[in-house]
Amino acid sequence: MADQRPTRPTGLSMFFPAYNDGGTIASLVILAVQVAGG
Amino acid sequence: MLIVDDASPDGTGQIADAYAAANRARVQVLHRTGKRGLGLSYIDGMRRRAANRCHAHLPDGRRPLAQSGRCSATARTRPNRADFVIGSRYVAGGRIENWPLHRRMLSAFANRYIRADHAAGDRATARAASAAGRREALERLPLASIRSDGYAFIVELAWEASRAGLRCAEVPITFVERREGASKLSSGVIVESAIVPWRLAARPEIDLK
Repeated sequence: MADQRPTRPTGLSMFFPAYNDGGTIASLVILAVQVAGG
Repeated sequence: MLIVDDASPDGTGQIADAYAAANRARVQVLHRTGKRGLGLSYIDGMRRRAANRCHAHLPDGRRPLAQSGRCSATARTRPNRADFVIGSRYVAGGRIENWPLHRRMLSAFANRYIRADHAAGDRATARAASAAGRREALERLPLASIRSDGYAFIVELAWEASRAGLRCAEVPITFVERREGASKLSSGVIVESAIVPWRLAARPEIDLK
């Protein structure tokens, strides 16, 4: 029987633990999307 | 891409929501209640990872994202592919820019302090805040048992990674003084950073490999 377990997509997950980073979070998200290839 | 926000009073969560609304396919926001600490933020992010590689990065603008991306690249590139990678200003090629002398001295002392603790010293770099790893490797780490919650979280995470037999690596990053926002280096964070190496050194060696 074939393996029915769900598979995760390949690629890269990025996460940003934020607290009072309102001055930098926007530019970082934009840059991260660009760096990640988007 | 996941932004973990601890109900920042400066509106970080709302800014993140706006970008997530504009890019739902790639950006998500996890709103947590109150300030729950850096360590739990890392753990929540690592548990929700979707891809086969995971990259954590503090969004305070002090570590260039492109340089930090070397962490992920090192976790991907053969033949020297590492399981767990941290960005460090204290390896060859790493630098600190625009820091006042007292911050340089505190940081250098903290790094030497941790490395001087033999049990933790070859397993951790003080206050690294960019980290990446492969999914299969991160799943071997006992995240639930990690107690550090400030910058020492990465020290303990690196220690656990080494204890689990993961191939660990450090890559150089340039660290710059923040241009916006306030430092999160509180007295509590400093005390925790002083205690963690000794707490780790006192733990019994259990072979997790």
